[in-house]
Amino acid sequence: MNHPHTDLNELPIEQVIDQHFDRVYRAALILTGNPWDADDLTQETFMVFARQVDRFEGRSAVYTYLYGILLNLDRRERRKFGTRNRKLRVVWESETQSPRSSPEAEAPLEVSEWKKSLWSWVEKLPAGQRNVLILRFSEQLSYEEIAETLGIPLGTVKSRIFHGLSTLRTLLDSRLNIQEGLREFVSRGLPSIDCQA
Amino acid sequence: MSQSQELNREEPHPAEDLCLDEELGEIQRQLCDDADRLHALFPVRDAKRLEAFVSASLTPPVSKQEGVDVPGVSRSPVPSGSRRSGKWTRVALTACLGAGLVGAMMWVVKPAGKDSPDEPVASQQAPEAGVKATPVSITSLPTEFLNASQPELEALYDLMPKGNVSVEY
Repeated sequence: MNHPHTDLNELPIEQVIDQHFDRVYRAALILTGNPWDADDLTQETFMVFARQVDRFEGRSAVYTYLYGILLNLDRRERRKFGTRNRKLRVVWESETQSPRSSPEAEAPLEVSEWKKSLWSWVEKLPAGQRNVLILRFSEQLSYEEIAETLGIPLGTVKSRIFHGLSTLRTLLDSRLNIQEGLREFVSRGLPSIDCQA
Repeated sequence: MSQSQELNREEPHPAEDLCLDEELGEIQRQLCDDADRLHALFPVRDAKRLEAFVSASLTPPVSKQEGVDVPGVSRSPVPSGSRRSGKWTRVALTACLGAGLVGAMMWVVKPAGKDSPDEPVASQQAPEAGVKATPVSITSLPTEFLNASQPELEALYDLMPKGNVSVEY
């Protein structure tokens, strides 16, 4: 594995941000689905990294260390406030509740695209499965890198990927079933009610 | 060969790995496609702003770091390593002042409580059993005192014994 910076104390924080900002921000966007939370999360990730730079022993790559911080912060945030408090939810609900407001003005394109994508379904998965799917299929990390980032064995990474995909399939199937059920209900029409009886 | 051993052998592209069945393969391909599409869509943020923010957050203010005086703020130089000892000095000083204040109050209050002139005489000397003390009042004074003129009072005062006076009832 490639470890470009083993002695991080010699590496200025500006350089770390410069080199790894894009991928951390991208991962934060996939994780949260909106630029506001992604901004906060990215900023906090680098702040934590800068404060804890002494703890980094250089055994892993800097970016896997940063991903670890990012995912921990995200998990803490979800535990603390719940997904309901996410700013995304505000946008989401404002879109559906007020037809007068223009969705484009409130929700940027990437938010609406994220909602259409499978990644909005990944958010519903348990944290362990969600994190491995993001690191593998969005960030394209190798199994070893994922294991290193999350501090779990290689076999656990593979099983979580498998279970994550299976759960995703179940979620999608249930959605399809609901949609088909609704379609069928609508096509049959409302049942006639005999009022005289 | 088991499935996991097969996976370990080579690292395929994320869209191609773990093809356990067709549906899961389709889902992971879809995830990769969606991620690529979103990555292309996501706005590119300027890392410079964050760099500046993190640097500013990590660097202590210049006034503290180099001892530069801030206009309008008087600031005495603090010798290095005295932060902790300064704290303990304040604690010790407060404790000393507190103890001194309490001691002074006790010294003032206790004697005053003992020989308070405002206290009635009856309360100064505990009445013994069977003895009834009568408080001194203006009415119990001899008539020569009440009717005496100023020079006569002065003369009487001169006749009074000086020093410890024991009052008997």
